[in-house]
Amino acid sequence: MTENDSRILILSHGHPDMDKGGAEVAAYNMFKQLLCRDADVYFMARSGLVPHGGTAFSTHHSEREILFHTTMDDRFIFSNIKTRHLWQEFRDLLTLLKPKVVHLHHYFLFGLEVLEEIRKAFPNVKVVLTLHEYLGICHNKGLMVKTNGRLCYRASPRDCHSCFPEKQPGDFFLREQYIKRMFANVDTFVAPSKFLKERYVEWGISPTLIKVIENGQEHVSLSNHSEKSGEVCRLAFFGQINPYKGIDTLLNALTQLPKSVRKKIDVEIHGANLEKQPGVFQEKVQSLVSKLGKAVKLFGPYDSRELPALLSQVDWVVVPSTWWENSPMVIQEAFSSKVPLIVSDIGGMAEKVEDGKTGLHFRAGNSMDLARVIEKVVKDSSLRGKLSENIKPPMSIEQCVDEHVALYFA
Amino acid sequence: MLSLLGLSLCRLNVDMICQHGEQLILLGWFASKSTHSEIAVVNSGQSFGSVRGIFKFSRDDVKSRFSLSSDEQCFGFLLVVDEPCKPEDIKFKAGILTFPLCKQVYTCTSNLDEMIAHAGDDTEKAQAFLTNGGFDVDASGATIVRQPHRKLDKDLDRIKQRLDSFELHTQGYLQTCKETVLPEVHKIWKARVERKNNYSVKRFGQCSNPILSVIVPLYGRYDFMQHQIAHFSHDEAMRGVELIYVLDDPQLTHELNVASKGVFETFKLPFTVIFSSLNLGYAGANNLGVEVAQADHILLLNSDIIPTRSGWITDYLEQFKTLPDCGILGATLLYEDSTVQHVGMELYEDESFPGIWVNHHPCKGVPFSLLKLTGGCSEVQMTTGAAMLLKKSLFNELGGFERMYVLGDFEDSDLCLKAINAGKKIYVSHDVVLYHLERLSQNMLESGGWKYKLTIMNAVYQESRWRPLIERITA
Repeated sequence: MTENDSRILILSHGHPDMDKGGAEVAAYNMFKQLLCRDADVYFMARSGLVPHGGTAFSTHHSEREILFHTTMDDRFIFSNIKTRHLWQEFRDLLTLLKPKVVHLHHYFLFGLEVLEEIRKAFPNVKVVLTLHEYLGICHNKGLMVKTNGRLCYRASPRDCHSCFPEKQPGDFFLREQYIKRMFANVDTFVAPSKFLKERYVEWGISPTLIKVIENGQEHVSLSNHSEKSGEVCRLAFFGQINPYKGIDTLLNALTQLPKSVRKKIDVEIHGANLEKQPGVFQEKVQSLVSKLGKAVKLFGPYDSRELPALLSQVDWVVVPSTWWENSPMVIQEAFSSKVPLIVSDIGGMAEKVEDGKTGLHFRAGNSMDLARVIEKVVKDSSLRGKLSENIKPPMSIEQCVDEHVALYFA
Repeated sequence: MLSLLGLSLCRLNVDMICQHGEQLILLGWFASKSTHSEIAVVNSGQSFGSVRGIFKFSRDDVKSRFSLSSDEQCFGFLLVVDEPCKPEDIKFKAGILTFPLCKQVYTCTSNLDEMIAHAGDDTEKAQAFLTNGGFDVDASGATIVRQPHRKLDKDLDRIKQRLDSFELHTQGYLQTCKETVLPEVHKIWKARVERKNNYSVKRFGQCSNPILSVIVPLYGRYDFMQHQIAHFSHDEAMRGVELIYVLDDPQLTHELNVASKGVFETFKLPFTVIFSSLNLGYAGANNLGVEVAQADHILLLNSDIIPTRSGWITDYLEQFKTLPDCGILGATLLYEDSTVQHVGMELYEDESFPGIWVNHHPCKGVPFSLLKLTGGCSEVQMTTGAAMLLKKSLFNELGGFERMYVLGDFEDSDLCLKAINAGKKIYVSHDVVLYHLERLSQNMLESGGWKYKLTIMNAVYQESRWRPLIERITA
């Protein structure tokens, strides 16, 4: 491809070298794949690092990887207009880059007005925005979970005010209108799950504007799955350890298992950031873990490159999230290694894992029901093999980029 | 600079405070050439057990100003005070020196992000500090934005005192109000209204030969401007419109200046901001805006109004020009849940206050679609000041808004009565539908405080100006 003819700019709210979220990794994987294809592509990641001399930008690895040192001034409406970062520095850089396609993997931390800047600078540029959670709809970290912990099915100014009494219903209305006004600059939205698309359609985005494309997965050469040693069933949890990931549901379920069953399981918890959680939650997790003794091991953080090896030692992956999720990376990663999953029966988890086919569902947040499912897989040792056979390889990064390129230049 | 007792320099400065319920967040700096490099916070001599620790950051500017050498002797600080306390009771201690907060000159802010922006380079650390202090400003996007704590100024304090001794629900309260309360309160208020106001006009972009001037007073919540302009800028019809914001809240001058620049650069819709040096109230702010307005037609609009569709402004003006004897054309206003906030206003004689008419909004809270107001408009007794379209010449002929309604109330109905008195008609458009976001509040009539008495007093004033006309139009 010739320069400037089809230049693509990918924006991510973090660089995976510093921020390891699923969205950041997905964005960066696409960038690397496009580079491999010799595409004229730039990657811009928002960064919280301190830049040299107070500049807005710096580079990382190469000149095609730009860090944007900025942050929002209004975290309620994701606004960033009080500094000149967007309306001067970013605008100037954009004018030099002259992209034909701008694909944003988020507006968070950049500031929503980044969409206005792109559209104003280049009225004909193709603007693609991937939606990674429900942040536009929900002020509670985009989880669509009420502040009392209950699942939220639909946002409304009045209900949101009940979650956040310090904000008026009118403020939530303004927030929604402002976000929608900025979203009007987007040509196409990408949703990694049908569920997420539906939520945004209910919120008011036209269904014709949202295309569902799963996040691509790195190819994994299937190392031989190590057969279980004797009768032990190995379960594993991967991900952040926070209240919404349902680790307490899992641990509670384990305490409810009959001793005879508990003796036959081995649970590995691979996850980071327990120390950053509220004290009450940390204590709860620690006390459950110590109560469970040998059955549970806490391993701490892992790198996604280690996953295939870790997964080869595991019979089932458990995703017990108590929020809807979108398309959790761990599901696709487990699929890459043909490991079936036990997941909450809601949202993106229920969509990606078919009950009785590629995994098993349990009632979200209900430890008794999870205990029932765990007992089932321990007692029926043939289930794992059967479900594993049904798992098809997930979408590769190559296929994912193919679909996006078709979208970029449609 | 050397201080008392032979000690070398020791300075403490508080730049900003934010009060949140019973917690106080303070931002400032400390500089000392002596060894007393630690500061403590005390409350009337008692040390606080619950200062959550101090977040320190470097203040190179202070350091160089006082030629200091290391961070130990000079730092910026952010701290959260947890115990019930009043700002005036707080003192800082450094060694033997005391720095009372009441001697400091600081800005009150409602926005923690603004504080964080001044808390050194590592804003994320500052944020984490506040998060641990129980303030939800983490990456989830939660921010506490609170109205600044306002003290009543001297005039209002006097008015409040006068009203506190005024008994409602007594025989002859009306007479007392007319003969003593109203004249006494008006005396205080009149002096205030006549005080000389210095204002400055700042134009962001140019708008020549506008077809309409829109005048929007801002008080407290200046973020409404960003919302309005975001929506207005998306509407081609707004291009020929002069947009004038009147800041009626001098303490927000700096914040609004910064926000205005950002809003203009982002949305590129020209607008004007009038920075008033006095708090003028709704009537005064609008009157000032009209003085600056260039167009023949003016639209007086509240800041918490946003449009429901594009092109509304064109339809609004067209309709105004076709209506017979139209003095003022209001708009249909809806809450965010599409229930009615305003489709016209009526005078209503209150049962609990015989002889007093208050402004009543018929159909308030009713789902809009039930009203089946298809097209056109209705002639009404009066319309709200939240959206009023009229000719500038008429506004000036009528002398603008009456300013003797204390703290704003009834000046919109008063303007309608003046227009009717001049032979004009008042209409409310049903083609022009706008969102108007009111705060959640209990029914006004349930409260009995001095503000409530003020409303009654203002109603009495309206009645004293317009009794014959009111009796005619309510007959």
